[in-house]
Amino acid sequence: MKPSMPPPAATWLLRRFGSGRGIEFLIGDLMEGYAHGRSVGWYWRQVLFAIVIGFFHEVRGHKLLAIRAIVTGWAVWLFLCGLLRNPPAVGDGVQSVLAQVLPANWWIHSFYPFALIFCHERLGSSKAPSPTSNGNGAGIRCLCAVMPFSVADNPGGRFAG
Amino acid sequence: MRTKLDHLGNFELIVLLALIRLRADAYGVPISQEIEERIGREVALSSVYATLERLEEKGLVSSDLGEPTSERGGRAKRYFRINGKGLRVVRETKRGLIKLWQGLPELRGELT
Repeated sequence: MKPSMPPPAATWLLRRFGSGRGIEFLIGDLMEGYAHGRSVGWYWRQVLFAIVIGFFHEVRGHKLLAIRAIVTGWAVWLFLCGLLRNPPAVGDGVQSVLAQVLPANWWIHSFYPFALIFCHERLGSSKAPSPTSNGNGAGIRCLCAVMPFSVADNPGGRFAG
Repeated sequence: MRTKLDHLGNFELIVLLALIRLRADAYGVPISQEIEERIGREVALSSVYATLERLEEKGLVSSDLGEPTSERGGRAKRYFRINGKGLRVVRETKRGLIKLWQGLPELRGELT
């Protein structure tokens, strides 16, 4: 039997990671569609589509920021990996610190550049609001959620706002 | 002279035709239902919204806020309607497509 309310986790995900001006209208439409007999699977499919479409919509709307974010993310990542493999001759201290900062399963985190796209877009939109952005900082929260050495721990940092 | 902004993609044309059919009752749910019934496959509501926002940026449609309802969790509807420029672009697109269709023996009898 179908629950009377749509899955709250899906709605939460859409509100957190969806983008676009009309996110509340979209949620309202999804709830109405669900109330009119659509299935739980339909609701989840629509939510996942909305997140993916919103991501590419943001990237297409901010191409330069997206390219810059990918380049910056990979540059930082490769630099840190290079430091780990061939540490400079300053003793074991740097290597041990980096080994603590970077997790052993570093490959899981190879999607950082994509998270950085969100982050860059949000930083850009805080200066000049984008017509396609809901401006709720979802990208930064997304980035902070997946980073083991969270930038949110640095209250004075650029990401703190 | 048609500009790049006047060019309609396939899905943009589909959404505009759905708006014309629905007239005053065109918001997310009925638009997606209309398209699904006509083309026979599931449509992502988010892609409908993304297309409508693009069409609004092109100046082909306009939108108004509707009344909130309880089944929508108290959220308002966003009604869309096609304007004069949008109708003109649809007519020009139809004219262009008919010209492309004509004179093709392989497709004879399908344009009725």
